[in-house]
Amino acid sequence: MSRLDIEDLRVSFASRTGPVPALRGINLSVDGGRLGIVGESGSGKSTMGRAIMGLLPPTATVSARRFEFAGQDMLKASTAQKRSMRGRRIGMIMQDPRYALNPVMTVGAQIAECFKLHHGIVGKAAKAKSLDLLSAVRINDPEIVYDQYPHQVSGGMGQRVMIAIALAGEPELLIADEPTSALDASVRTSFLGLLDQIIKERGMSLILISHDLHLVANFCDRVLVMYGGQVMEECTAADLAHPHHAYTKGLAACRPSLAERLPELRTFTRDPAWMEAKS
Amino acid sequence: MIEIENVCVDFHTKTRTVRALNDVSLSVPQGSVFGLVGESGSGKTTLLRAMMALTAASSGTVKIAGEVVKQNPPLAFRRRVQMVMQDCYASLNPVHTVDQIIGEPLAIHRFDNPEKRILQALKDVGLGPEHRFRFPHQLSGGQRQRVAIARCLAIEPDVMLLDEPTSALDVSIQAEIVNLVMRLQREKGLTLFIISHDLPLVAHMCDRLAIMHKGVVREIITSQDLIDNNVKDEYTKELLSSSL
Amino acid sequence: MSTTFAQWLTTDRPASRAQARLVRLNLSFRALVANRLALVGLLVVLALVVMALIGPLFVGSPTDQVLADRLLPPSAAHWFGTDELGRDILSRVVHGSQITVRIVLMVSLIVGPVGLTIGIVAGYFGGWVDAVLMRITDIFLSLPRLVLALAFVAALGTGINNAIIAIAITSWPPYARLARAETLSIRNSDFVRMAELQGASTLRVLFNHIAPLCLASVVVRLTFDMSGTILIAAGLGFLGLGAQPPQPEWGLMVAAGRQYVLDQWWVATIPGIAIFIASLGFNLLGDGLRDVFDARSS
Repeated sequence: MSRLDIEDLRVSFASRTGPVPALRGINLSVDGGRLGIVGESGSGKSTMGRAIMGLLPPTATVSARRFEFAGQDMLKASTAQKRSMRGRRIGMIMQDPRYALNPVMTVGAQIAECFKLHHGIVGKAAKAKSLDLLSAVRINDPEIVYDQYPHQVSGGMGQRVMIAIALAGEPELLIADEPTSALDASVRTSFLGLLDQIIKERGMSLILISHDLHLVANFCDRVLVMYGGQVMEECTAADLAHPHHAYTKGLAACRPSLAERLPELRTFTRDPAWMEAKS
Repeated sequence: MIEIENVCVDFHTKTRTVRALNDVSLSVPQGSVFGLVGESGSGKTTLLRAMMALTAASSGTVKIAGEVVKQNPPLAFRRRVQMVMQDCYASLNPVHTVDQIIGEPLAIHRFDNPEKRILQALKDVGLGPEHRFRFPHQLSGGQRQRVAIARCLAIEPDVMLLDEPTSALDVSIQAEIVNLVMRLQREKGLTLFIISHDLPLVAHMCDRLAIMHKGVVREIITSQDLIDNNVKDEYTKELLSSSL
Repeated sequence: MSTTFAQWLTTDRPASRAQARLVRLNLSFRALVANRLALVGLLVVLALVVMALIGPLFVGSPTDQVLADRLLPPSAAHWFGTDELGRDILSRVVHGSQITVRIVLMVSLIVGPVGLTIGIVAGYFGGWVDAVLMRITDIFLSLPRLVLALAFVAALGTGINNAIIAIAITSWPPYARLARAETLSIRNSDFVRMAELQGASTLRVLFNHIAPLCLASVVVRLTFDMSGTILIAAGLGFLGLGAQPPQPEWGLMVAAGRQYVLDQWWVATIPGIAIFIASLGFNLLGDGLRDVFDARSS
């Protein structure tokens, strides 16, 4: 199993008024299992995913005491090394298949292209493997879907195609950035079930990035709660039922619930102390 | 306040006719909060468009405040029925200040004393005078949605339609906006019609709700039914189980 | 008074609409002059306007002929030398700036609103309105600009006003295209839908919501095209179809100096440099304005 080890990761973006910090000293390690990263907008959770993928824009400055994947120092990796790692060893599932898939290529051609890129498999062999993958992500008529364009498939189906594309490189680590936020609730459950089954079958690690504490608590083994570019709390998913940090408590409480009927939803104020750098 | 009777909406394409709404009936009394829950493709957007006089019903009638909603409605209808959209960034003109945004409906409907009304609307939604001359891009998501609500409230509507009003916001901000909307509803006796895919949220906000699927209303229940798990329809049960 | 005027002008919580507008103007202006090339462009354009407004007070008549002083090189008495009729070139260049500014201003004031209106109407209504307006635009666009301007001048007669009309008639189509494209991209946006749902009239939607969003690109394009306008006006003058002698129009001056260009270089070169600097100034300013508007929209 390939480990991802990150110590004291800092990312800042250049702007007209000077550098704006996005991540301020993140520690994280993934060695199998499902890690959830939860946070609200602006917490830095998406920057986190992109930093691991090596997809940060050139305006970003990255530093870390340690940033290793499978024993390789990601900070020292050349662009070519990063590119060969992307997709091949670390796969990514984006939020919305409507934007992440190429609209003028058939679904099948996009999967087959990954086989060509990562394994040098072309022609009929690539097509056969792509069809296998489409059935692996439980698409019922892979032959038909293979020749369809992204706008012809539904949201849930498109997101499964995204998994298929991510799986084509046979990565050891899969990063899913809000993979269900464009899906309906009924599709969401079956999609997460499929994702779970696939990573278990293939022995992959998963990092699930989401704004939904509830979803992450149900789906992941471990959870990082982020706020203002820092980790507020790290715990097992089971412990999320009894959070320690005030921010996590607030997040958990302000969501409407069917279990109790309140006159008003709970709100919370953000403590400026959360933004202060932790030692 | 809202009476929808046997409404069907058909869309005609070159090759076939698609029925987007099939015999939808529901009624919302004045001053109550009604929820419409459905997934994508359920027809909830079509129903909303029919209520806003953007889509004509193929059969059946939509009545708001006793008047049948027709295409090109009179100006008074546009004042009485207001809408808050999902994407609070896209629904505000990026080159208008908050002042212009709230002042526009006042000017359209020729309200007197716009200055005072703008300040009052800002106060109603919990924004200060310091926000008055900002542009949408200088506001946070929650503040933008507050401005969108203030724009509707400024002209004293009877009915407000809210289309997924918080789905683009963080949960903590959602809680603030929901509390705000509910407070304003109580204070002003508004009739609210809320469209959402989020069952717990609708259960919190609404008195009654309709579950829609494939253009059909499957069930109309009270929020208490939902909390007590007192639902009969199979599809509602499925929705309920996936949102627990 | 606890706040200074500078603070009053940069505050993020203005007390009135007028102050908010001034603050916005001030901040946009600061962003513009922070860009060094734009600042140069702005200074050139300002210098041109100032020269047109008060320059003639400081120089002699542009039409006084002193035949004894024909074709004198630049000297202390005649900084830019004299032309073939012994007229002071400095005086002619300064007076010529009035004609240039007038042409640029008039063309912009006609072309901008006309192009913008046609473009947003076509884009917003679509259908046959769009088809008719855009085919008319295409017809004008397919004719070579200078040739069409020539035809109009030939039909209307020569002179600066006719040159202005000719240039305006040939330069609005790109603005209509630009405004139409921008309108198409915002016509279906939520805020336009929202305005319609609140009962805004078509005129209000067009001029309160759509036009302001197209205005930025139209203004930038206008500024860029001002240099082109100067060149076309000079070209018409050069061909003898714009301003008529003895008017001190820069293009006309270049044309007149052409036959002396080898021996008395200054006669054609000085007005040529004036044309060059003025059009460069407008171009730099256009670049700067585009950056300012881009920064705002992002």
